[in-house]
Amino acid sequence: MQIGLIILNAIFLSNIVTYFGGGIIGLQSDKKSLKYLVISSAATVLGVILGAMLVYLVQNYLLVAVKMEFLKTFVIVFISVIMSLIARSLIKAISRESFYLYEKSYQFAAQVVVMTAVILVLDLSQSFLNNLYIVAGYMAGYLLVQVLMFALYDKLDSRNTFKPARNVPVLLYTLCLIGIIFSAIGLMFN
Amino acid sequence: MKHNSPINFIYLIALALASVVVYVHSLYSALVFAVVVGMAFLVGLSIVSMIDKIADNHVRYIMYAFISTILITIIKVLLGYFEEPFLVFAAENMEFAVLPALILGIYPIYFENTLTTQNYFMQIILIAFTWVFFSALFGAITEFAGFGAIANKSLGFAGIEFFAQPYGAFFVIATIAMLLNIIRRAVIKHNRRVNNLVEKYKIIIKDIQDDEEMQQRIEQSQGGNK
Repeated sequence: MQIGLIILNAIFLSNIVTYFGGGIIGLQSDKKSLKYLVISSAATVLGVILGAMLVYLVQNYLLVAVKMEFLKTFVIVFISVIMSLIARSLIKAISRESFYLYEKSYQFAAQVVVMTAVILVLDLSQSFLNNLYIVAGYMAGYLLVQVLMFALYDKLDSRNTFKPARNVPVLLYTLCLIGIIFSAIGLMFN
Repeated sequence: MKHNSPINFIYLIALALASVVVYVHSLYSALVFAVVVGMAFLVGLSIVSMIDKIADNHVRYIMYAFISTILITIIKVLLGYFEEPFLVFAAENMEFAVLPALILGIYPIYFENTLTTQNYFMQIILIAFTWVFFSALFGAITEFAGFGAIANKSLGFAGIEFFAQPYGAFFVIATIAMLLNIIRRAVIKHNRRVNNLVEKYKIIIKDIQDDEEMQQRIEQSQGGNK
């Protein structure tokens, strides 16, 4: 029951995109192909989970032991970069077409930011399993927003939209609405 | 951002600010974040620009990420020595300044690598100043509308809860981005018109010079015949 609540909170109430905002950059790239969306999101999720586990171990068993906790941010960015490089290799191995789209846009940088954003908001003083559930919830929330926004990607630059409001402002207005709905759903569980 | 995406630097600034909405609630906190991120952005990109010709975009981005993170870590440690309440609060959350710094670096590294050195530096300085202005404006609006205060001084009303929430912050950021984008488009339009006029007059001047040259040659050849 408690695990379910932790995961539901991470999905709706403290969603990594609609609450923390760190995952928004992951939405802003050429994701007009469903296959590419699935492959790149899966690679990001895998990278975040592995990265979070690594950061937890390094922080609690190395940095705390040598009293260098202030290096936590650097370790998070370093591990996020390594995980993004692994995710890039995975995408290259899985699909050439997706890798072409990946290289054409700034998806690598977006992946680094999303991974850093998720790992930064974790409370590493909690237990390993607790952090794992929270990361799973964050990533489920991230994927949920990705799927909800998929229908909007074609509309971001629609000719019917007021020109200066195209793309990012439309994306943020939509996230504002999704955020209101998610927080209402999240409050129902608490 | 030419063929890949219609995104521009104002949009990336908006996305960068959206990544720290939970930690920016006032003008002062916005300014502290903005100045720290702006410094990390300028120093990081200046160093990375040295390997512009020899390294690809990903390598430059990784280098930029490491440099900006190291700078922000140093600033966080230094801020710990101050006793001002808002600086103490900013220092507590300073590690989150890494996110906007990482997002801001995307535009110059992935989309402006064909510019000359002078234009490149002009561009990154423009981005840094727009970032600081955007953040300060956002901080002031959120503090005023969400908490009924300006620069930590209460204005006598509680504020509207919507603007104190992250979704309200997205609304404010989207609106500021749209307004700044209107200004950006007007400036680009104006500059294009001026450049077109300059090109037009250059052609006219060249035509006049050519005509005069031709006239002189005709006169010289007529003088030679006589």
